[in-house]
Amino acid sequence: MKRNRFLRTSVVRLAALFTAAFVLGSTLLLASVYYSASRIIDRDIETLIVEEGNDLAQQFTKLDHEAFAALVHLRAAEFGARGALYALLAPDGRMLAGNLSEWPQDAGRRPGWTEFAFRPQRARDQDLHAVRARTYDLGRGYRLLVGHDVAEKRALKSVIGASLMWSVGGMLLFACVAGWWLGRRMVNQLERVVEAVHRIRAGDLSRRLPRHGPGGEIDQLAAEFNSLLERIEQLTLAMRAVLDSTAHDLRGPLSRLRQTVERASNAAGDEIARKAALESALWETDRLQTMLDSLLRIALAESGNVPMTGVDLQAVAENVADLYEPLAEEKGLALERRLRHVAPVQGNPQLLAQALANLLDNAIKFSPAGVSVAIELAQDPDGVKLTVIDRGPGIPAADQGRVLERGVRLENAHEVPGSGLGLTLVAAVARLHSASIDLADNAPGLKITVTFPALGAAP
Amino acid sequence: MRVLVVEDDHKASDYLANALRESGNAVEQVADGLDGLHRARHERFDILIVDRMLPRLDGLTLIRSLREHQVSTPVLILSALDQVDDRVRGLRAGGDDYLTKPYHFVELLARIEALARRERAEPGATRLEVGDLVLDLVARRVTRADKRIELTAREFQLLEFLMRNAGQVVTRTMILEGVWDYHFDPQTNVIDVHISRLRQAVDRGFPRPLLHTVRGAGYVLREEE
Repeated sequence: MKRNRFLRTSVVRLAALFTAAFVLGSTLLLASVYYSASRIIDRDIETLIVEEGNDLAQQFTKLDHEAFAALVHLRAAEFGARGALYALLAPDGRMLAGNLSEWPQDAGRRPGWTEFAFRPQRARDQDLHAVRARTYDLGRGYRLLVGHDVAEKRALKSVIGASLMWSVGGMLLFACVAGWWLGRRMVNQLERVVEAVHRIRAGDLSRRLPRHGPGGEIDQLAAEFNSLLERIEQLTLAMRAVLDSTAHDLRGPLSRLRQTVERASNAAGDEIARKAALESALWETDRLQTMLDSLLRIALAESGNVPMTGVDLQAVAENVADLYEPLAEEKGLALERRLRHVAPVQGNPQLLAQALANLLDNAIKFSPAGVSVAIELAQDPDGVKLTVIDRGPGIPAADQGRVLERGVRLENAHEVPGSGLGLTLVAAVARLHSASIDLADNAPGLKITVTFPALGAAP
Repeated sequence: MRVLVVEDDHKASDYLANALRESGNAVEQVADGLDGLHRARHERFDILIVDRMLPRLDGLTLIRSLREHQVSTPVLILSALDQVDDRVRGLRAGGDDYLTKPYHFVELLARIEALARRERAEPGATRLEVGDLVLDLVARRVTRADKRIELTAREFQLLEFLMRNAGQVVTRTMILEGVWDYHFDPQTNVIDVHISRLRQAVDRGFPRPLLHTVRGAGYVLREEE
């Protein structure tokens, strides 16, 4: 649970971080929009004021006082309705012309930009309006003010500002909701993964991680993890099977060994019985060792950790046939060799020879006297086929898959010695060489074909 | 024979040393690789039995440094590892033979006797003789009491192997290794059948058999008085 909380905070922290970055970025963007918009609005007015002011200052040098006052008066009458404001102040402080009732107190002594509030007489509303204005010293004590009512522009700016603020707020809200939702989704997915891992760790190896539709990274991770689990499960099951069957295989000889040793220790006086018991104990020990060797070989072949070289199967088959031919003849069997030259296969010569020896051993063991056992090697479009054919009792179709398993001995095989591991080794060696095994009925008898992929072909 | 056993498992070492002494050998025991190397370099032994895993200096390194110091005493490697390539690694390091634990003492004894003898044998011989049995390696001909004996290629190889180890017990696994180069035990004792066929060819019709079965161990080719 500690792990859960950690996961949760780390994901949520990440979501919060992204939300904050998103909101900060969009706020900056909107602020710059607001700044640009208000700059454009302000500059419009200022350009107007400067042009008008400069023009009037020029006129002042050409006209006498009366005419100039009349001009200002005219301008005020003409543009006043649109929000323009004029004031002409005489050296003695009288208002000579303009549409301002008095010289604004905020406009200082020095010429330049100023701002003040004013209450327009004509307007129905009694609100104070903001005014942007510029004052000029015209000379000989005359002062001029040119300004403009900016209330409307201010209102526009505040509307823009407000809408931008609302946008920021909305985005903040949206980002928070989206971040929370995404974070929760991720936390949920990961929590389910963590839960599945917990169960798997507790021993439920058949469990798999949940999938959330294709494409996502978590899904990809889950898919990878699942295939890893698949492999682990297979290996674990195989290991368990090896352990079970090894224990099962060894239990029989071990208990017999125990009995014979007991018999030997009880037969203290009877020297002959004691010797016989000891000898059969020795025989059981050897059998145990042979079985262990076989099991280790099988494990070795199954581990895949075996040096491989290019192997000439024809030579391997000839050698193994040489080894078994006298045994076959002793039993009154003919060993037929139909060995063609074939392309080399990638393999381990020792394990291949042992596998073929096991096949021949079985074929000879189970064949009645007077028939023939054949070993064939041929190149085929599928690869290299190694076949051992006998005329023994064969294997019923229902049991054909089973005999390749570990330690399986068929009912009718009990009078024939063997560990039940012979074909298991063959199967393991075949798997190691990416070869397939096919059991077929030879009516009567059994035909086992091992097909090796041709060298260079994909395994 | 004077035998040096380099083995860190004291129980196994004592068991082996006692059995070797009972078979009439002089045995020295050391329990680690460095001591083993030191004694093998400075004393004369007929055979070294070296465990693969040893404290201070592992078996393979011991053998490699012995060979670097021009000590050619035959070495039998003992190992609990039955890996197909492990044997190859052992022999490549300079070992002469390789035996997997657990082993049968008779197997070990037969092997060290064969190794010690191989050291004394002349390697360039073209004719092998045991009593009136003669094997000509150049003409690939076998005669007994000047009578030609026809053998298959395998039987010839088997007889050559037995004659090179004449007077020594050879086990079934030694034959499988020496003649077939197989390092596994077949499920059935196929070697017995090969031997009985060879015996038919070599001993049948002659008053004194040369090829003898040693119960619980293997076979020996020798002239008996």
